Amino acid sequence: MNLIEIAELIKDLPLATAIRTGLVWDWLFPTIEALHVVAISTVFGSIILLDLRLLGMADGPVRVSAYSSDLLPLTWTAFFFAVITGSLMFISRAPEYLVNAQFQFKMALILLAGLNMAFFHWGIFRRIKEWDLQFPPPLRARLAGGISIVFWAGIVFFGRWIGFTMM
Amino acid sequence: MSIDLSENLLSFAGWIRATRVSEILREQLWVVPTSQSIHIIAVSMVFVSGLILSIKLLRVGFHKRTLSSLVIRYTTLIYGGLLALLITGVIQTLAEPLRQLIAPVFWIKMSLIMLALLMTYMLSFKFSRANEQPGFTEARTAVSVIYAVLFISIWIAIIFCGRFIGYTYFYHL
Repeated sequence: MNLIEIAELIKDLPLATAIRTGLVWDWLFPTIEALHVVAISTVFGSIILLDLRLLGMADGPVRVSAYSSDLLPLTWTAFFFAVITGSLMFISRAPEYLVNAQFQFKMALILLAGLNMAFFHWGIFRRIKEWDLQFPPPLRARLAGGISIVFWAGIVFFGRWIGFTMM
Repeated sequence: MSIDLSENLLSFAGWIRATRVSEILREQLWVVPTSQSIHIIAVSMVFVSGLILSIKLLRVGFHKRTLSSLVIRYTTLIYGGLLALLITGVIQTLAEPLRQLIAPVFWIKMSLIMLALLMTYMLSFKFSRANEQPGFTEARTAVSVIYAVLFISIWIAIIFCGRFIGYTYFYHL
């Protein structure tokens, strides 16, 4: 059984059918999509604020560790909801999403953004005490922040383009 | 003399759609999706700023920062984000005036944005220098809780209205 056949089975699940057809409630898909936008906005916005601090563009001498501990709980909670709402949208038309180039780019960028975040946290962030208040932060931290902004902006762009390319 | 508002709006939207600018924006197929993407990025900045201010007003996070410093930082981001939303919103309305202007949810969104703008201004007016004032404490009050919940609920409602504009048009066709 290949991926498309598995996706076809997922698409036929009662929940997937209810979301796709709107037979139970007309506004189910738009509501899930709006909740997804709320979640993604929170993920993107909170990550960008930390990235801007890493790039040295922030308000005054605030510690990077303070930014991180304030914002990351928000990011992870919102990411959890983004995955739930995103999965609900995905199952409604799984085969179409799987072959959609914009969806594939979005998923690839999420993976790359995650790797960038992991490298940052297991790399230069372990020596945060040395540069917590440094303005601007070290080059590697600035690079991680800049790359993160590009990846996440790409995720938002491709996410929006999915809607224009799914027939 | 009675004025049929929806009739006037429809003819106004039709007039915009017939302009050369609207035609050009529609012909360039990348314009609307790109404008919508930038719109969402701006929404993110505004929404997270509103969320952070609400969390601080609820006194459940951002304990290392003073209310004044957060208000100065994030109301500025809200104003900047709203400017970006205005520019991208105008582009979308020029390109697809019928989709936007005749949807009641579009006008609900505009009204909510006005309300959110007013609440943002009130926050910056009251709190941007609050920590310098003698006797000011950051203790949670019933008013701050109600304000925070209302503030973030309005921003969530704005996002919902924004997403529902497209579907309202779809269901009306």
